[in-house]
Amino acid sequence: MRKKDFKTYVDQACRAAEEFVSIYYDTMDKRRQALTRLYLDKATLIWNGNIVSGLDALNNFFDMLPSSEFQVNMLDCQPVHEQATQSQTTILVVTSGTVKFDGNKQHYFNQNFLLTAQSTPNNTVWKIASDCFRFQDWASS
Amino acid sequence: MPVTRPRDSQWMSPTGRQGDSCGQRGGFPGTLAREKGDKPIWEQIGSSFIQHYYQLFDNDRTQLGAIYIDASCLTWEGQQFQGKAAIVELSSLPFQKIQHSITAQDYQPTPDSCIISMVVGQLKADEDPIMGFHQMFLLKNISDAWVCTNDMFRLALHNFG
Repeated sequence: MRKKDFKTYVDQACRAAEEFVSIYYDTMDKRRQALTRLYLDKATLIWNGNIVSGLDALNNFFDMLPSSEFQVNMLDCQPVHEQATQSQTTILVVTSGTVKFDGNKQHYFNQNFLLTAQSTPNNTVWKIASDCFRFQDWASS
Repeated sequence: MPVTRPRDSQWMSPTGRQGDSCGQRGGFPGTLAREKGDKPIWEQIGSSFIQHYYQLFDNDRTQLGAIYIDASCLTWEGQQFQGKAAIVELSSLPFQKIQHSITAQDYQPTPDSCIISMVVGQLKADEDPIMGFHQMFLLKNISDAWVCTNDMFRLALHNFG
């Protein structure tokens, strides 16, 4: 692996993260049935403290979740240093903003993703290995 | 603060800690007994680390450097820092007193045996008003000690709840 300086490494990770986040929430809002394609088979989501594990459960969950309108206001991202050559490239992404689910009031939310790169000969596809979602203001809702 | 359970679907009324699992169990390394009352190991390690972290932060943040390694990345309100030395600069943040209060915490193991944790809470610095915050940690076991390799912190500046 070529040596990159820290800033370049972070910039590249952040570009990938921004692109992924944009696709994720767009898919969540407009093409919900396609959302689980962005997850690894064994991915786990914790949704407001409830564990949803594996693609079947994720499919059921997103199917049941009311339709959504997300607005992301903030995004932070970091690459994860992996020393072993077998390890896949990994980035951590944190988002926050507001969301309105059909039939519920608007909430502030925070979400974390652990994304893993899946490289094909033509490009790199990022998939979610871990996902954690919480309303920021749930205690007062 | 008192927790009221709204008469809403399960998904819209969050639990403060990781609750009952829903759907199939994933293939986490070293699957453990999940009987009621048994916390999985990653939750035990994670919550113990978090408790230690905020205790250090609130009482003597000059000691914080010990939980990071040279390769650690910290993002604090959008500013990126790398390595132990840079992180120690946090101890010179412009407040004297600080107190964190955790509202909710979530833990997950990663495919390569790290632990991700997400904390949502409130803090009060000096005589400033209480503010919400959100922090994410990635913990790794190196030579039998759990260290933080990634840390991202944000204030919930829009939220006056």
